[in-house]
Amino acid sequence: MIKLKLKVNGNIHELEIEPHAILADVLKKELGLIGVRVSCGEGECGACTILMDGKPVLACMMLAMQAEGKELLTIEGLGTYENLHPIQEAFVEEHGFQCGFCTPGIILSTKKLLETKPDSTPSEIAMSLSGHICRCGAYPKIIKSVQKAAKKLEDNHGKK
Amino acid sequence: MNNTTFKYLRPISPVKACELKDKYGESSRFWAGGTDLLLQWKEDVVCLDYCIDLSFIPDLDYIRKDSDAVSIGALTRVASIETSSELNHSLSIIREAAGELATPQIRNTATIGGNICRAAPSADMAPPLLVLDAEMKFVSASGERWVAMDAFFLDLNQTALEENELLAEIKVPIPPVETASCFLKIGRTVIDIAIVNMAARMTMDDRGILTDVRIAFGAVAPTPLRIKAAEEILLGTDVSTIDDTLVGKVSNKVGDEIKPITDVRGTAEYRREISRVLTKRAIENIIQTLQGRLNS
Amino acid sequence: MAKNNSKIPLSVVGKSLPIKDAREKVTGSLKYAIDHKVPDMAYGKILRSPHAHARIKGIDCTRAEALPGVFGVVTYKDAPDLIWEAHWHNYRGHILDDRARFVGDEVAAVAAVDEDIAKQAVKLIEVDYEILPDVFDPEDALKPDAPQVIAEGNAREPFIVSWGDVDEGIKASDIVAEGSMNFESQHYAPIGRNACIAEWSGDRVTMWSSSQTPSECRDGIAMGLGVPLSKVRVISMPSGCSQGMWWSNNFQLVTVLLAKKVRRPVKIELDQRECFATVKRRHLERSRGRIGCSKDGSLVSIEVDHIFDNGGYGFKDDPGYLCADMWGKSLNGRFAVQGVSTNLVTAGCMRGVGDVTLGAFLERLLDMAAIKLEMDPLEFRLKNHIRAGDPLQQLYNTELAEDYQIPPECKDKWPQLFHLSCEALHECLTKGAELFGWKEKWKGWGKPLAVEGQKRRAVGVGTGTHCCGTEEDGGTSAIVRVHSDGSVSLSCSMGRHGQGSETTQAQIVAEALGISPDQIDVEAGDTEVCPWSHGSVASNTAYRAGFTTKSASMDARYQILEIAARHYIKGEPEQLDIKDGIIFHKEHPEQNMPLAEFMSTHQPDTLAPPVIIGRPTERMPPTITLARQFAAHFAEVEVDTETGQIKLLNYLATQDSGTMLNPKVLENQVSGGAIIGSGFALVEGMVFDEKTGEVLNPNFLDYKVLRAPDFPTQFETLFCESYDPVGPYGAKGAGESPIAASIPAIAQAVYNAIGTWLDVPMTPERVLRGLGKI
Repeated sequence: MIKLKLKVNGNIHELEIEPHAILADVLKKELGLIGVRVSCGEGECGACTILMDGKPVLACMMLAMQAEGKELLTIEGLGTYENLHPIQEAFVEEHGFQCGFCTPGIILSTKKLLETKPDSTPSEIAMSLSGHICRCGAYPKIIKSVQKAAKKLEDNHGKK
Repeated sequence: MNNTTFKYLRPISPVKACELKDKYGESSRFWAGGTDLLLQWKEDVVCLDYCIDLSFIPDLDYIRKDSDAVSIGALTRVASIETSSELNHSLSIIREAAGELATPQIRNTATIGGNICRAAPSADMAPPLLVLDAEMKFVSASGERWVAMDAFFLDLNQTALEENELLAEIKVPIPPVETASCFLKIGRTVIDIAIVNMAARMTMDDRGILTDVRIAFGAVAPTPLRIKAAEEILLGTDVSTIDDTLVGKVSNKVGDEIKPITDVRGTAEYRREISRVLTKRAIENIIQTLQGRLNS
Repeated sequence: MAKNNSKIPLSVVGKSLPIKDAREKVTGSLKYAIDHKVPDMAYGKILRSPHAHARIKGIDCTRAEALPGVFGVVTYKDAPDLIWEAHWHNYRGHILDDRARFVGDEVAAVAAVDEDIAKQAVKLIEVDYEILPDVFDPEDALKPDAPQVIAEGNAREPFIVSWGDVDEGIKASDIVAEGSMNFESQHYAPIGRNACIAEWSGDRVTMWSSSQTPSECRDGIAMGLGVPLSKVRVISMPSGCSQGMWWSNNFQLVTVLLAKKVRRPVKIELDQRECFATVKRRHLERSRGRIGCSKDGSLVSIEVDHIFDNGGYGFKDDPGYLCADMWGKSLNGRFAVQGVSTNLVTAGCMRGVGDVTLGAFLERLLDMAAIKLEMDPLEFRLKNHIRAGDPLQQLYNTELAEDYQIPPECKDKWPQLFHLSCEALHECLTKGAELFGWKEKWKGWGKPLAVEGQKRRAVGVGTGTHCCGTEEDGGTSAIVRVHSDGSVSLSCSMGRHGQGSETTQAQIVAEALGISPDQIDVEAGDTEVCPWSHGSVASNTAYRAGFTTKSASMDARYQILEIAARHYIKGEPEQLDIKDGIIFHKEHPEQNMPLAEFMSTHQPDTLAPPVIIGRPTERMPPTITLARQFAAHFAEVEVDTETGQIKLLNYLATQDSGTMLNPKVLENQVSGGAIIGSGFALVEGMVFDEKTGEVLNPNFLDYKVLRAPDFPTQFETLFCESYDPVGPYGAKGAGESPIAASIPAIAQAVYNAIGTWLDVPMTPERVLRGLGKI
């Protein structure tokens, strides 16, 4: 066992883990963050996407030890059930999913995209989400959700 | 059977990393982004007792440009390469290859060094570096040495790196102005491991004579490789005289030289055929650019 | 015509309400079965066969059992000598027996304190296999000397639908075309894995798993374990994208058996490889046939022979091919389909079963005829497709049709059985063509719309259909309970795999009861609460579950109005109504009472508040005999004739699902069908090892599916609403027809680009072979 200090969703966790522990497992099993969805477990599907220092990475493809000292954001740190983040609101309103398994990861990739290029075209949105598989095939509505989220964020920004 | 776990080591400099490697030898592995290695370890393909995590070495993450070369630290993330403004003109194929490597999330963790050192036949970063005559800097506890990219890959998953060496830097010489390059990749879908990938680069003199020709392919042999016999056909020719017959000759040469296999992703026949097609397209693309420069 | 065949103004049905669990999904808090835990749970792992076909001569578990942390092991010796059969013959077999029928078949299972120990223990089980001859090709498996995979024999009885005389029809035809088409096996490629947790308490068992079919799971456990249904409780949890994969699967029964043996709750979670290679898949299918037409393009004769493989444990004789109805105007028809067992992983129903494959072949035959006639494929389809009131040939010519008559009391309510109830396919085709610009883009058979260097662009149109639920295996039901505060619980066994059924069903309840959909909660997975239903399969949910939900709601409504009229509002129940949660007299709205007040007020006669439990009181007609959903898709592709790559440029999906219950829910169903259908058309196929039948691409690395940039952002949907006289508020199903319409549209476009027909998936390699380049 090895000590690990992990900063997740603004909270610091002092953990003791196996050195080979995978980040996704630690987040899910040790910290109970089930929104880190694991499907393929080998870096293809994108369901376990989290933000590390603001960038989307796959939690199933990293040692937890590699995340030490980084700022991690999982879907649980974005908005709450009662108080959704504007991106989450947009996905709810536009039906940007069916089964919802890929949704947390897609929303986190969307956050990064809209910080980088809020005026992305549908093709750019599609490319930026190419690391995610939505097997339900809700891509058209996902793209609409991202566009709506961009608008919501812009409106919010305008208010400030 | 797999070891159930390993010891985790976290050096903070390349030298420290090499010292650890010297100490633990074959029972240890360098761990860069770890995207491939993690899978191999989980599937019992590689065994290790010591994981030397390179993620916390700040010194090897850079893209620097000077007058004659661009130097890329081996631990530079593929995503940083994809967006680097230093990699322009004929070096932009490095950027393009980075942009087609796996998925955006993988590109945020995978490193250029990791992609190359894994020595997969399909490594997307390999063909551009091969055609740009990149030089690889190896470091060890006892010193450093330089190896040409062309001599880097030895066999399937095997490189010129000695057990105690670490790839520290990839130095890409900036070609003369009259150079054009091209990177092409064929996958089954937008996101895919390459069924075939390739790069080409050509340099001409002020009369339009090709003075330098490089054609490199991935996923058609045990390692990414240059197709020198095809390069030679073009070397010394005048870009304004290159016609379909010559292009066909070069493409066919590529088809003859490569040794593709049939696997779940595609048959050898398909790989051979599209290798010919990609050769043709790359040459046409490059020649068009060069001819344009000649006429302007 | 049925009396209720008219549109009434609707207040909740037709609104794009967000789906009920949307907030859970976007916050990552929705629990799938893999996330579920129960106290004192053991972890199980399954030992799987390394052989395609083998008999277990001996099995020694002593070393596994002796490993510290192991609670117990089950083998075939622990399994009851009982056959269990999943719905529509998706699985037939023992939970475990002394045979392995494919690489990956279940041989034994271990329960231990954690998954690592269970994995180690599995490796300690020693099995002595007698290797048996194996067979992987469906046609080989039909040969008389083929190794027999199951005791019943490899070949199922051919399932034949026939009308007229096809040979005479061919003779009488002006043109005749013949063709064949092969399909690789598509996989669900499920996102999200599945797990099963089973816990016995005395002689009763509770099982949690992600499933579309809670009732079927319960039936399967009762059958496989030999216990009464009353002792089995299934709590079906949400699943990741399922498409027919997560119904009742044998790994769930293995879990139940293991939990029974070790007398503690056991969880078995399947990993990605197990999900891809050991559960279920679409059949390998092969079609051949011929078609005859008269000069004016009228269908005279269609004949199809189709075989499909069931893998190790599938037992289907009929893949389902409502497409035969679609082109039933043909004067003569004969469709013969046959299922056959092989030593490949079990095959069964996947979204649009039969209609995706056989339907695509049928469309190809139509195209081949239209080529000979030099007729526009759109015109050809418009001329020949089924219209409302036409006979449904698949059942029309069977004994069933003779036996089953409309009961006299339902004569005014039900449409004519064995005839199509309603249809807007014609409108889908004509309006779709207009929106797509078909006239401008269609250049003639085998003629690209544009050629740029080695790239050719072309368009295609295709149609798809499927049923709207069926009666086989049981009658669907629902219960509506009104609570003392006026809120309502709907219990309906549908499972939750993402298509928004809870939401659309709640909209039906809200519409019927006159209350807000927010006041309605839906239990869709607990068999202790939900009456029997097929679950979310074969478009049962919108149509049949919707019918019973509406009927149960109307029953609850009547009960409310009857009591209200008796005690609180003067008048007959028929004079009363409920709107926005208020009960009122239609002519004297000032006489009213909020539903919440009504539900909590002590009635003068019972001295207690009313008890309102609605159940379906209306008889439902056999819906397979009347309702069909339709889709027509238009695709524009670009084929690179040098690399063989096909790119989708433009896609229009039109849909007739009757009244739209929730447009955005429907749009997702339609885009999902189009994208998964396109995936099958272009790239999806399982690869089996030639020698062992093992799945060689059990992962997303090598089983490719379409991602966002692979599908055109130029995607549009167009809905043409028919009004179904039986479906709730005129609604019909939507899940399967969109996936069926996709292959024909794309295949036709590819033909027009390169002038040749290809098998499915139409990989770049097949394109180059079709062009004779390799």
